[in-house]
Amino acid sequence: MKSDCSKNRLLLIYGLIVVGWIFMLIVLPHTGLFLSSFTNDDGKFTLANYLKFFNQKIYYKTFLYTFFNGILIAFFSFLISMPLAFFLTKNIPKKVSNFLLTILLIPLGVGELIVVYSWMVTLSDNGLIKHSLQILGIDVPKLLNTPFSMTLGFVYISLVFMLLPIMQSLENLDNCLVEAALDLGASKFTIIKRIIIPFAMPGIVSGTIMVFTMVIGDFLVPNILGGKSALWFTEIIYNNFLTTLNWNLGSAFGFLLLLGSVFVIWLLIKITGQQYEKVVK
Amino acid sequence: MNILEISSVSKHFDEVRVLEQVNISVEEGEFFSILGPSGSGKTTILRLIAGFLYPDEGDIKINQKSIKNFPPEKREVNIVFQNLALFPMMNVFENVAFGLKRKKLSKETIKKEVAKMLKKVGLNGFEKRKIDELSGGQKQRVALARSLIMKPKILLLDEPLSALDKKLKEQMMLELKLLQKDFKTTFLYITHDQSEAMIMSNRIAVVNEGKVEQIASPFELYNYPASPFVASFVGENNRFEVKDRNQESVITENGWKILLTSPEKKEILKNRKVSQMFIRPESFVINPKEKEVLKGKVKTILFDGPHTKIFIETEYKDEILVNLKRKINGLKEGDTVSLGIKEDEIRLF
Amino acid sequence: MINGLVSKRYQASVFVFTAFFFLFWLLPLFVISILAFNNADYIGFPFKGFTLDWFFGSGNRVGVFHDADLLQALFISIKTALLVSAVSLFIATAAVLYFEKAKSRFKDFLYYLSVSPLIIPGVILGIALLTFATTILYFFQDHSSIDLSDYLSPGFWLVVIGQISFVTSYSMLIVQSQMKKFDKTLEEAALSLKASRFEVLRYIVVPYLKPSLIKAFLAGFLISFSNFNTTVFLVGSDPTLPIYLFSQVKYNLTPVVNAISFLIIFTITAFAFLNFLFGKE
Repeated sequence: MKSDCSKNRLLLIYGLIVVGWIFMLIVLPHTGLFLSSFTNDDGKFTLANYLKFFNQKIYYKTFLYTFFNGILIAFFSFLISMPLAFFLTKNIPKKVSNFLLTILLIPLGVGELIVVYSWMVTLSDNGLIKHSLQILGIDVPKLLNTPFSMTLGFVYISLVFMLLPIMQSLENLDNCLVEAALDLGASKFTIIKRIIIPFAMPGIVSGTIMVFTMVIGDFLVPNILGGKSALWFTEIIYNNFLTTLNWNLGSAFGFLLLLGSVFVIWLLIKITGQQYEKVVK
Repeated sequence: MNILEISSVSKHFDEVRVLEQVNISVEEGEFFSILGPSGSGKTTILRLIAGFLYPDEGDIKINQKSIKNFPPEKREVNIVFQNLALFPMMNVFENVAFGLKRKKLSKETIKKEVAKMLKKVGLNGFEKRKIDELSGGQKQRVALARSLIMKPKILLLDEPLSALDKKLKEQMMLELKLLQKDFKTTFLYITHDQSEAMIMSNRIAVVNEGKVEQIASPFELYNYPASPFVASFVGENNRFEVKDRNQESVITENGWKILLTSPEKKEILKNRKVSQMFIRPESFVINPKEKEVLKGKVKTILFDGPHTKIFIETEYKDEILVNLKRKINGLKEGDTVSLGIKEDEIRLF
Repeated sequence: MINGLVSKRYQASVFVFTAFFFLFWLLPLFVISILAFNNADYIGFPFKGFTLDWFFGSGNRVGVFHDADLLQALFISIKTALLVSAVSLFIATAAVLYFEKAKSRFKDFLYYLSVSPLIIPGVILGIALLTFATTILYFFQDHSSIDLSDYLSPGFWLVVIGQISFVTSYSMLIVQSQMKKFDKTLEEAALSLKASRFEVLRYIVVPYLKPSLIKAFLAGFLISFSNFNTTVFLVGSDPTLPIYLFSQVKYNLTPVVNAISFLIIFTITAFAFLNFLFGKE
């Protein structure tokens, strides 16, 4: 049967390309990372890299600090995104909403480094905010290199990753549902709690996952906006790879970061009762 | 001569048997319909002929040659799809020319052929139009032209009219019939709408639950249904459960005893088991001059111009439908009427 | 639009919230854009007057267009992004067609792996790729005479290979969202009109996907162009623009960084608005 053959031949080509990509560029590198994390400088098996993590306070403290902040920032992003997403999808005409969305996406296109640098300049001691307030005679505390500047930077770079999935979920929400609930005498709080939030849930969960993994895996924001006070786990990995050249230790830390983020994602999906398939899409 | 022969074809998906020992043969030049409710397997038959599915058992022959294992592009059939499946990224010309281009014909030949075909379906001058600029009827014609230009041995039509409104549908039915006569191509038409099948077809195969119930001309199908399913699916019918019978009468579930005296009916009553009786709405006569067999009360009268539908509750509490050619003056809801029946139009199963 | 929910007070507060939000959103980009024209050798305020030195200067103040290192980094970034985006698009399209057609039992498993780079922190992907590439490189050096150091030691080609790994995932999602709306009867219609499988792909599927292919190419370009977290581990002596700018910001900050930031912000913004005005979606 010629047709089936030629069909299979095309499909085989697609399959080879996909498998090639997934295995060569995703699976094998991570397997390599895993193996390297159990290796010492002489190439022998060891658990020392992991033991070091649990033995030194700075490592596991930074790890927990990073994860805690990741969750916190995802929550902040959610708090801002929810009303904004509702406003953009339900309260204004499509054309205006698309315009505002275009504005929202500009920093994403400009790129993280320039955006983070721009915030650094804006918040610095002779940046716009402090400078103009000083002209007005108002003295403000240091803004840059504080938890505040870091949080701000994180929320700024990750917000659209929360906003877009929520908007996508809300777009499927039939306005009639809300109107029917109003008609049946539901309070606004009830409507938000019982209709809008449940409807946006798949978007909220996938947004949270995106934001969380973005934040804990980020390097520029803690490095440029966080200053020395806030050590981020990625900075430790970065140093191991590029400064002290201790790759095996760095691999172990990288693997722990990956394991931790998978665990948090799993927990999140379990808690919210979402299906993995739905969240991935 | 039979252009298409489907013999003992069965097909199942996973555990579900969708076609069971289907036998259909279609003559060259025929307008043949496959009629059945949704889920009856009629679309599966079409996809088997087109080559999108392969039969588990049995054989499919076109011109006496088995095509069972041929891929779609090797079969000399073309399809007009239910949603028409016109290529949205191409204009009318490109759509119609698509198949000819695959045959690697010269540019001039293609241009000439397409122009000829568009003229035949009444779309000359539409070459550059985009698909979404066409009306429903025009889209139909492009779809037909796109398939007919391939000069298929059989043109398969998968309910192409189902999306049209009633007026346009009737017009397209006529056009289809004329086109078929013009091209002398064999049409195999799939539909769930018995009126479409009745109006256009030379012959119809009625399928139900993966089995062919009857293959016959529309006239035969209507007047001599071969099974209770055909009797109730094709045209309107009044159905009675038969509880008992003797040599010359049957008694329905609700206790109506009807005398059947014609030799043909007596023959049936003598030799066959009878469980159901069908009487067409137009087989009733209201207030007959002779032989009143039943009394009833008029419940509702629906008048639509040429016909009148009357719902009557009989003295045995059966709800029956009676169709009249024209309205009887003075008949109104609540009236008691007497009913006669044309006995030779009663069908027993 | 839901009007049932909208009271006057609600509307006013939402308006104020949105206005403030968008002001906050554009603030840093605005600040950098102004400072790019500041006639002063320091980075921030006060604004000392207008100058184009940071763009065209070639004397004491070296502007963007005379800064060889910067231009070199920009050129490398563009080259990398074009290459990465094109190859990723090719793999992504094959992947979309594979996941659409294949009936393999491993399909779901492969799919989860193929989207995993979206939630794996970029830093981890970077160190995994670096470790893996180095392992292969040493393996070939030790066991054969093949020298892959041009491709697998940190440098241009390793950046390209590494970025393809995750850019493909993004491209795939973009193309896939359009493929999901594809009407499969179009394919059957073409087959029934005697097209071969390849002709179906060439004349039906690819033209249908064209808008999303363009979109995916542009998105891939931007993602590659601005990537830092993964790329930082893969660069050699010829850095991409974000890596180069990071080192400038950290160790050698001059207002030239403002100027190049302005150019990128301006390009992206102009492009976004053109797309908004003339794009269909």
